[in-house]
Amino acid sequence: MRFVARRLLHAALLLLAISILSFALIQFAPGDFFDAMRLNPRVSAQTIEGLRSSYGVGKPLPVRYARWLISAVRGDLGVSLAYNIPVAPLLVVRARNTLLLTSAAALFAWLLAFPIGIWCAAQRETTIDRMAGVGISSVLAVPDLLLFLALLLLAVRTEWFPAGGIISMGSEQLGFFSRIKDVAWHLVLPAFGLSVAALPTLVRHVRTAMIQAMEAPFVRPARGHGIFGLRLFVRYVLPAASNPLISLLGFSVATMLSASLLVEVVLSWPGLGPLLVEAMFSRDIYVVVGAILFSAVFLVAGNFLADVLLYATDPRIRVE
Amino acid sequence: MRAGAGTLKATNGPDSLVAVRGLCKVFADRRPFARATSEVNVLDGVDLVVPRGTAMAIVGESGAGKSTLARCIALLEQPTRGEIWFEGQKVTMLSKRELLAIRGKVQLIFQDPASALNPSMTAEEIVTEPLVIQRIGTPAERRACVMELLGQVGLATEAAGKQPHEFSGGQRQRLAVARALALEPRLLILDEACSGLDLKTQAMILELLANLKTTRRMSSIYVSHDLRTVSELADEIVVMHRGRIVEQNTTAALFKNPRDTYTRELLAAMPAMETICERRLVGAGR
Amino acid sequence: MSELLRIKKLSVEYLVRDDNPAPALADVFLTISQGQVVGLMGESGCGKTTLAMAILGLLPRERARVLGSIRFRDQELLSTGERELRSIRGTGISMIYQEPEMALSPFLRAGDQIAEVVRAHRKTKRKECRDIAFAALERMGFDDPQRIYRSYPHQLSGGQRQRVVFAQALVCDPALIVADEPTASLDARSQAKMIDLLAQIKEQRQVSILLISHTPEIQASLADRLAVMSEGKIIEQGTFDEMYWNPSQSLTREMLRPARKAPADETGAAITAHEDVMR
Repeated sequence: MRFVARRLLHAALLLLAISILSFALIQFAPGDFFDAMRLNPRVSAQTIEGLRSSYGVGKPLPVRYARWLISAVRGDLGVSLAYNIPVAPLLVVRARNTLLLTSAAALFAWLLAFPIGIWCAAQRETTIDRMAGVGISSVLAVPDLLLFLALLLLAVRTEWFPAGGIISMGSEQLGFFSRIKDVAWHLVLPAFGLSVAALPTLVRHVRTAMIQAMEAPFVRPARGHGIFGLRLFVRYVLPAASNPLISLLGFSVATMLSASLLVEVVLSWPGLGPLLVEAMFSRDIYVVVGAILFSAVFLVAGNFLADVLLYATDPRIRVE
Repeated sequence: MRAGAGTLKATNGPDSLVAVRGLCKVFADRRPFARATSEVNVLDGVDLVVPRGTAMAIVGESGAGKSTLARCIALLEQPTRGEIWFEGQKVTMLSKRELLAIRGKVQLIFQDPASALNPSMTAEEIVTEPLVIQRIGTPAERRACVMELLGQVGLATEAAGKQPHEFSGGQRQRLAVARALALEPRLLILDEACSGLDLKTQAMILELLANLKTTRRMSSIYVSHDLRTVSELADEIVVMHRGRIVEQNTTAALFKNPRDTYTRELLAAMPAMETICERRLVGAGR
Repeated sequence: MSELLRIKKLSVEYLVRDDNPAPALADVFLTISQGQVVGLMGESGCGKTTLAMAILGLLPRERARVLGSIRFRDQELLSTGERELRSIRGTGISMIYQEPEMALSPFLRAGDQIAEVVRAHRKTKRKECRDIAFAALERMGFDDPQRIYRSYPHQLSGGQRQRVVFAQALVCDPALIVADEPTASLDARSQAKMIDLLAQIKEQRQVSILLISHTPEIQASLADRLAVMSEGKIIEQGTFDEMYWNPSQSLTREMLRPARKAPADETGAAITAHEDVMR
C-alpha cells in the first residue's frame, strides 16, 4: 500500500507543478481576455477596467494563483470568461468525450498492433518483414494533420461517415441503443485516424519486444522439453514481453493525448482539444489551466495503471 | 568471535591490508503490496583481516554472503553496519572523492567476463581505460604498459586489436585480469572468476595469479563455491554459511582439522580424484 | 546392451554472413548404449553444447548446417520433422541445461514449470499433470516439496533450482538425458547430492546419460565411457578407466588429472584422507 500512496503523492505533486506552469505560461502570453473587447468601440474603457477588476484579472500572478488553487481544491475551477459559466462542468463534459475517443483509439490501435507486431517478429528478417517495415515507416512519415484532413475529405465526399460532431441533430428523441449507435458512427473516423497515427510506433515496439522475448534464455529450454506453439507463446514468450509492453502502454497514453487534440480540432470532435485551442486564443485562463489539468490527470492515471499492471504481472516484484 | 570460528591470525596491525569488523548487510525486501517488509541478513556480523601478500579464499554455497562481502571490501557496496579499514585507514564513511583515490588499489573481477568487457572496444582500449580515467602516464607510456600487461596474462600482442567477442571465454577472463592489473592494485578480488571455465584455463589463471603474488606482493581474495580449486592456491581459507564466517584457518590446518560441522560436511563431500578412481577399480572387482 | 544413440560423422557449420561457414563440429562419432553414462569433456568453446543442441534438434535451421547421422532407437533424427522431434523431446531425450537460473522462467512457479512439460506430452487434465509434477519433485529428495512446488525460481537456492530443472528433465521418463554441466554452480554438498541423484536414476531406471562436465571428479563418479573434445573434434574416447590410467593425448591428461596439488601439512605430506573427517 505504501507503493500506491507514494504514487498518488507523486501524482498530486505533478499536477500542482503543471498548474503553476500553465498559469505562468498563459500569463507570459501578451494580452488578456479583455483586450479583444477594446476593439469594440461601443464598450468604454471604464467598463473594461470594471470587468477586469471584478474578475480579478489585474492582480499579480501569485495572488491569482493562490486564489485559484484554494478554490480548485474545493472543486471550483473558476469561471470561463468567454462562456460565463463555471469551468468544471464545462470541462467534465468535454473530458468525457476526449476519454471516449482516446480509449476507443487506444483499444483499436493495440488490437491491431499486437497481431501485426507478433507476425512481423515471427517473420523477422524475411522479405515480408522488410516490406511490412517499409509500409509502417511510410505511415509514420505521413503527417498526422494530412491524415486527419484526408479522413475529413472522405467524410465530406462520400458521406459514409459524419464530418464532425458527436451526435446527429435530433438524436435526443431516439431510443437508448439508437443513440449509442449514433455516437459510435460519429466516433469511427476520429478514432480510426488517431489509431493510425499511433500505430507505427506501437507496431515497432511490439515487434522488438517480441523478438527479445523469443530470445529469452528460458524459451529454448522450454522448446527442448517439447513445449511448442500457442502454449509456448502464451506461457513463456508473452510474460517475457510484458514488461516492455506495459511500459509502452503507459507511454502511448501520453502520445495519444497529444495527437487527440489535433484530430478533435480537424474532425470537430467536441473534446478538450477544440476547447483548449479556443480558450488559448482568447486568453480564457481558467479554461486553459483546467483543460491542461484534466489532460494531465488522464496521463497520470494511464501511467499509474501501467505501473500497477507491471507490479501485478512480474512475480519477481510482487508477493503471493 | 564465536567459539569454533578459528583464530583471527592478525589483528588490525600494520601488516594487514584490509580489516573488517562487525560487518552487517541487510537487504530489505521491499514489496509494494506487502504489509511488512521482510529483511534478509545477507551478512551477519563478519570479522575478517586480510594480511598483505596473502591469497585468501572465501568459500560457501550460493546465498552464503560471499559475493556481498567481496563487494563490500571492494568498496562497491555500503554495509548496513560495521567498519572496514584499508591499509589502516577507515573507509566506511569516506566521501566519493576520497574513495576514488583508494579505488585503484582494490580491483574486482567478476564471473562473466563477457558482460564485464565493453563489446565495442578493442582489447587494448579496454586495458588502457583505467589508466586514462586515473590520468596516469602519457599515451606512449600507456601503450607500453598495456602491451606488457597483455603479455603477462598470456595474450599475444596481435590480440590487442581484437574485440571481446573474438576471444574465447578463458581469454576474455585473462583480458579482465590484465585490465584489473593496470592500476597495480594491492588487492585483487575474484568473484567466482573461474567457475565457467574449463580446468586448463582455470589452472592458467591461477598460475598467473600465484606469480603475481610473489612478484608484486599482491593480496588476492578468491570467492568460490568450489573448495577444491581454491585450496591449491590459497594460504588461508574462510568458510561462510548463511552470512557468517563459520571457520577460518590456514589451508593445511583446515583440511586436517576442520572444526565446524558445515566445513566437515563440505570436506566429506569432496573425495580426492585418486580415491574415486581407485574405488571404481575396487567396485568393478579388479 | 542395446544401442540407444549412435552418432556418425556429425558435422555442424554455422553460416555466418560473409558466406564463410564457421565449423563448430567436425566428424563426430559417438555411441551411447542403454543404461550407460558417457562423459564429454573439453575446453570451453570446443563444441560440447553444440553437440547437445544438435542431438535435440535445437540448432537454428537457418543458421546451422548439420550433416551426418544421429540415430536414436533406430530413427534418424536429422531427417525427422519438427512435429515428431517435439514428441521425442522430453519423452525420449531430455536435457538438463547449464545455469538453472536461465533455464527456468521467472514468471511461473517451479512446480508449474514441471507440469508444463507433462502437459506438453500427455493430454491429461491439469490436476493430473500437477500430481505427476509433484511426484517428480518428491523424488528429488526435497525436505518440503510443497513449498518448492509453489515457489518462484528467484525464491530458491542454486541447488534447489538445479534439482527442479532435473525434475523437469525426468518427469516424462526419458531414455536418454543430456546433462550440460549439471553441477557447475553448486557447492560441494549440492554437487554430491546431484551425483547421488544421477547415480540413482542410472541404476534404478536404466536411463542413459550424456554427461557434459569439465569437473573430473563428476566424471570419475559416474561415467562408464568418456570422450574428450577439442575444437569440434573428438580427440580421444574410451572407457573411463582406460582414459584415466592410460591416456594417449596430453589434453586428456590435463582434463582428468589437473595439476591440483592436494593441500600439504607442515611436514609437506599430502592430506587426502577426507573420509576420516566425517565423524
